[in-house]
Amino acid sequence: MISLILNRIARVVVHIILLFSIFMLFKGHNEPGGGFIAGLMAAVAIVLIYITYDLKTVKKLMPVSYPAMIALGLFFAAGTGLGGVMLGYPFLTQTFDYFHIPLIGEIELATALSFDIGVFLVVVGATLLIISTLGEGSK
Amino acid sequence: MVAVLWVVFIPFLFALLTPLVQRIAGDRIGIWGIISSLLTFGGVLSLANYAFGDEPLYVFYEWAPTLGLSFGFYVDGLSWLFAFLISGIGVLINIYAYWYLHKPDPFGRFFAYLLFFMGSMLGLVLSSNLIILIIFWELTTISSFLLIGFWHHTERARYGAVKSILVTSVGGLAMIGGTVLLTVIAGTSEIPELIAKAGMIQEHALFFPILLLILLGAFSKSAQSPFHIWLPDAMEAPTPVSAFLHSSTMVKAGVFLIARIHPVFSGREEWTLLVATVGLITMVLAAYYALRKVDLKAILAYSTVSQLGLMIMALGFADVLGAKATAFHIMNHAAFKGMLFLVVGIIDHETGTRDITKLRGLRFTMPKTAVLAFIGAFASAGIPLFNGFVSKELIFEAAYDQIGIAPWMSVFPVFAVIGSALTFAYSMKIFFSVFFGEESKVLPKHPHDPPLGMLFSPGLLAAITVIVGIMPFVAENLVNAATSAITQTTTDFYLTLWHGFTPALWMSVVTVAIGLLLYSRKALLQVMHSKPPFGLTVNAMYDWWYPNIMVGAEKLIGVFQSRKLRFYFMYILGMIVVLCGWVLIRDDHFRFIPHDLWMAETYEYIVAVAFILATIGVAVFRSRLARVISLGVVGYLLCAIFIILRAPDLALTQLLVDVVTVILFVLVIYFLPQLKTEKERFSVNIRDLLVSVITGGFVTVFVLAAYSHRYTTTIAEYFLENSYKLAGGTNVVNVILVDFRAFDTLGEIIVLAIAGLGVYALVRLGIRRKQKEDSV
Amino acid sequence: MIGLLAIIIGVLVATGTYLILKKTAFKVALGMVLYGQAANVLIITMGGVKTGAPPILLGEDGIVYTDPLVQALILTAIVIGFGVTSFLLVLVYRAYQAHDSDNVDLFEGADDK
Repeated sequence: MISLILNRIARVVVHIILLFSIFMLFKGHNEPGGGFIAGLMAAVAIVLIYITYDLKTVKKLMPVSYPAMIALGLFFAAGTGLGGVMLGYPFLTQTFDYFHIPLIGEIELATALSFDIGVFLVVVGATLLIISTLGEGSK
Repeated sequence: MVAVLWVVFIPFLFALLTPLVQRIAGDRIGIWGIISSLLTFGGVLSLANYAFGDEPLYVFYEWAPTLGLSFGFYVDGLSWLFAFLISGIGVLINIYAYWYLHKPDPFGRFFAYLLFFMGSMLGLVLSSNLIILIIFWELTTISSFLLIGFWHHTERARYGAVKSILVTSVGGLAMIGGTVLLTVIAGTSEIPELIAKAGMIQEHALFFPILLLILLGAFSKSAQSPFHIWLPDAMEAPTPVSAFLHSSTMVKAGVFLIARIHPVFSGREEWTLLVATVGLITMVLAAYYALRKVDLKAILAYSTVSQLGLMIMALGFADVLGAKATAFHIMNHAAFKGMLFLVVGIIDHETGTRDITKLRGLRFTMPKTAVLAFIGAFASAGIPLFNGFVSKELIFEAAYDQIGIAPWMSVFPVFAVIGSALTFAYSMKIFFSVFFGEESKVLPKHPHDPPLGMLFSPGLLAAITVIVGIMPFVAENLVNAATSAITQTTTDFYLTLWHGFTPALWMSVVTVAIGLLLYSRKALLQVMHSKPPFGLTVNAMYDWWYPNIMVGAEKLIGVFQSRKLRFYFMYILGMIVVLCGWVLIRDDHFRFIPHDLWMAETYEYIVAVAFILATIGVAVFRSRLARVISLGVVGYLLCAIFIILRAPDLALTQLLVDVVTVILFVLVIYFLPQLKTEKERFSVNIRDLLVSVITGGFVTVFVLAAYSHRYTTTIAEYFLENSYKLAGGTNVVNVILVDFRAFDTLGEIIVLAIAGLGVYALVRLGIRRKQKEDSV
Repeated sequence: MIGLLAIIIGVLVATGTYLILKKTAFKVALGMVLYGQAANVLIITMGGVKTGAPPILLGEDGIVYTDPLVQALILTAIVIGFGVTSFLLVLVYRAYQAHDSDNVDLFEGADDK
């Protein structure tokens, strides 16, 4: 039972939500947002596809393994921490600086961002893993 | 210096590796035990210069300095003597056990336990700290339990194992109490420091309780009366274990402890009164019991108890001679009693019985064993030319010297002679009734001498027994080193076989004379059929107590453990309400800040009312879907509350999580069929309601009280101050998450990852199993 | 406002307790979610109610912000709460598969076949 309205709307909305979640991820350091929120948002977008269509469509659109996604996320987060260790600081010491990039202008790059990307990946991976596992559970 | 660490940890390491090695070695795993004990023995030998030199070795490691905990090792004459005995006899026992064990026995387990014991025992004698000593002490209790119960398919072995662990643990508990008291008053648990503070400890008002408590531990471990009951039942263990743990090493831990604390406690009258008297009573009683027994191992068990009593009695004489006699007798007893046990093991192994009423005339069929038994029995009886004689002579001398201190102390030499006469009698009984007389026809097996491997260990011990018996001076250095350590004075004795016509020699003569009288057939029969002196024995008390305490414990547990989740939950809630409520009342925290308690905007009231209704809806709706939708509404309203409380990040997160949670619940409803709802009785519902309302009401009061009374200032200022300066972010919540407290966040995403993988594994494994079942 | 919040927390706890005391595992799971939410509101209340602006720095002096630390704590608590809830739900689901029942009293000691 696929609602036609939902079907049409979802196609558009999913892209918007995903884009917005990326925006949230990168803006998180200075405005509401961050890895957790962005990750949940992206997961909700994909769950919307699952509700509108089915798991097969989700798999087709996102041919990734969720456990691998979790692992990658943990790798990012822990790896950021190890970067500090290699430079002689305690584990998970973060740093930041401002760069001038032509056309875009002054932007801030913080190692915290790469940590947040790790958080993002873990949250997306774990949420989707749980939902999809339960979704195909009874087969 | 590192050698001492090796000595303690090699056996543990090898014990841990045993299961792995057994895969390769199979039934030859005994060689692994032999290698390990040889390595340990080598390590102990390399430490010898600390025992015989001037300076003992004292290695000290901080463990948890803030708690005053440390661990260290202390090698002096006394600890080295014990380490030498433990590792040396350990080697012999491992060799013997290699031939002793039969096919169906789990070899690997046996040697792992044996090595585990050896490590614990070495740790016990070498540690410099009383607390650490107790830890190793209890480890030896555990390994002894495991080894006694090695043949756990037999009822007697289980009974003996449980008895041993219960009786020795009771003493162990007392000892912990005593040690804690001692540590508190002395401010240290390091033995060398305690010795330095001996004067202060002896003056302290708690001196007697401390002494009594620690001695209880030592007495129970060394099977002193009335704790002796566990040792005879411990003889259900395989014979190598009896020889190793229950005669030559572990049961001497109590003697060791008394010797170790000798410099701290001795000198006051209570010491002699407690230690020497208990030793004396045990020595005589146990020797009497030994004479009554017909099972060879039981005789040896009681004989061990009696000999331990003799040593403890001599330690109770707070003089140098007593200490010296004990040190020497510890060695000698380990040699001849260990050897006797091994011989009994051989007899049991080759004839199939240990009953001396059945064993006769084995000297024809087992001549080599007979020679060993002869040496062991005569050493035990205290006959000249065997080592037992020399040390017993010393103990006699020490006992005789006590007469000069107080007249009542003449009981010591008198009873020492009586006890030794009994010992003489049962030693003769062991040897002559088993090896002499006509050959028995009723033996389960046809007896013959064992393989050389089994003769090696007792043979070596026999050689030592004879050599030390004839030339006692070979042991002089070791005895002097140990005596100096016990008494904290430098001693320089000479050990000789012939002392001249001293009182001690006459005491020996009297001993042999009485012993011969006792051994004459008529007296022996009388002893064996006499009633024990007490109607109510300690064993009977134990046998009454044990099942009753088990039943009582079960009843008590039954009261608390209903096996129903909700009752446990109610206990927890009840405790929270009672304890926290008590604190609130005690500190008078019911004065709430009144002025802004109910001040709120209209929309806040609307949100709150809607929130409460939705929450109650989760509990009262009939359909599961309605409950879940209600839960979703609660989540959205929570989101509104977060906005009101100025938490935009939380509002966003809650919103998204709420969506996913609702989907999750709906999925579960979809896959969980509507089961017949468990009807609760009305009274149960009322009870639950009551519990819930009380808990909820309490939490409300608690929140108000906590909000009105703040004791600490917030650390939020730091984060607000430094968020931009140090981390370059203006969203302070996010900065805390990814920067200041990033380590926490890392932990949290790991939890999330585990939850996700856990869900995956649970469902996936279920599916796979189902598919397998279907395909079958 | 604090009075309202205290009552909200009390109702969450009371309802959660009532549900956890039930036999049905599904209800227990619902109760656990309510407990988690009660804890979150409790923590944020302890950080102070409406004491300042949201903790997004504006770069001007003299602005009072609300406590960011409790918010950071709760943010992760919400996400972890979701993880735990999902795990609990799957346990309920698997327990049902193994026992053909979601009565928590029947779970104890039974073999998972």
